[in-house]
Amino acid sequence: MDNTTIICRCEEINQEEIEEAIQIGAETFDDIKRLTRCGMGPCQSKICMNLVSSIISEKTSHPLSQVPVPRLRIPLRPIQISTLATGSSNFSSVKSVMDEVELDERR
Amino acid sequence: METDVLIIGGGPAGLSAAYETASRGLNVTIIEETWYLGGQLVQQTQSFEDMPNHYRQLCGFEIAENLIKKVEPFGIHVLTDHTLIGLYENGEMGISNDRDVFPVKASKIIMATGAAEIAVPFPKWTLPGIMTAGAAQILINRDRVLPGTKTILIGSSSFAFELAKQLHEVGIEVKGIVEQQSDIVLQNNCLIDEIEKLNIPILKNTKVIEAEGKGQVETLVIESNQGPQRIDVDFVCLDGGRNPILEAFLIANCSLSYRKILGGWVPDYDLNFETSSEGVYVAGNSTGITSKAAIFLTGSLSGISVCESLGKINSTEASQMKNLFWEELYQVEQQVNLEGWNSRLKHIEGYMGPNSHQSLSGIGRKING
Repeated sequence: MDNTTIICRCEEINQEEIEEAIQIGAETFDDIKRLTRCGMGPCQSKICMNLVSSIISEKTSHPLSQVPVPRLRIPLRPIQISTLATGSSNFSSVKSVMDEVELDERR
Repeated sequence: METDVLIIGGGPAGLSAAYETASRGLNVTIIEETWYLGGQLVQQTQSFEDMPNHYRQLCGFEIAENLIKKVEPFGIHVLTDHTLIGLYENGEMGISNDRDVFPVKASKIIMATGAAEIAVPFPKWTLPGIMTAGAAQILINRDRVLPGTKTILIGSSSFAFELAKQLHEVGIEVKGIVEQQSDIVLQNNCLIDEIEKLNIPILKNTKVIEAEGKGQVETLVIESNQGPQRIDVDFVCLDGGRNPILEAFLIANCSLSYRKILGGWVPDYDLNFETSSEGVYVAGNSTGITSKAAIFLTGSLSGISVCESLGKINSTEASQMKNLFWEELYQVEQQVNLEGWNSRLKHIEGYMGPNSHQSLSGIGRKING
């Protein structure tokens, strides 16, 4: 691998960008996600999760058992906005997704 | 929508769990994200030595056909092309078919999400034509499409060797199996002999430098102690191992533990395969990847546990059946993967406390072989 090797193919984040994030203090996948968008594309980190964890473990010397998996959020799969937005025949999905939002986040 | 048992995943583990639950009169719904049941078995034309006894002579897709036939009489509600996208606060699962999202209320949930392949990164590994070993097998066996004419495999598990054989059979030139370490992962000498007879080189101590090509892979550059070598290919297969698919467990707030031998992060579960989230069970490769037998037997075990918990069988009958399935798993794994067996019991102990598995007669004494 070299610095230009793509790690997150959805967002085209390379090895160097992940190492830079670790240099400024990233220790988890979520740290790197927030700094680089790594793992935020269509596959939602399915492909890069292991690769990123290995890099974190190698660069920080934390064993893999101390590199937590990313926090996943609803919806688990990319779905069409029309699926969410239509009052579907048997269920109003927008309402139910909004029901999951914590009160303090809504303000 | 309401159901007694909601099973996430219609592969071998989900179908095994479906059989145990539906055959005892429970109302069972299976959510499957592809358009067919059977999971990865469907494109597997090889047979497996680490299968439960009665499946050992059959190849993958025949086992899938058997299982599907076995559950057919019980009127299972099968939702193909449906995926789990979330969990509502009241515990109902959010299911989408790409048009609607709807909640499913289930007394028990069995998650049989399976395992995913791990990629092998190197410079330009994202070029078209570079794919996982599983993807190549899906193309040739399920979709009947040749991914190319000349290839090389990166990684040396039994799956890589099997795939090399299958690619050769359909007329693809396999230019080698590349392993960075000095030893190959596969232990089975028969399979190694077969590959050598086909004149497929096994390249140990060899690492991948990079891929090259305009818009598509054309060359793979590898390097051994004899120096770099440029291999002319039109596709490349990556075998980086597999790990459990966790998304559904994370959404359901199930706790995880890291077990390298089981495939990395694995949901915690007790002897009944119930996770830390009440009423949510786990089955198949997402319980840890140890043997093919474990996929079926953990499916049956979680199914029996759900039946017991919903009062469909009494605890005496349930523990007899569970002992049989555990015993069968031990019989297979002591031969093919004792390390995996031990790691699974340690995983259960780590969650339930020391010696907890001794409540199953005959299992406790076997923890260290």
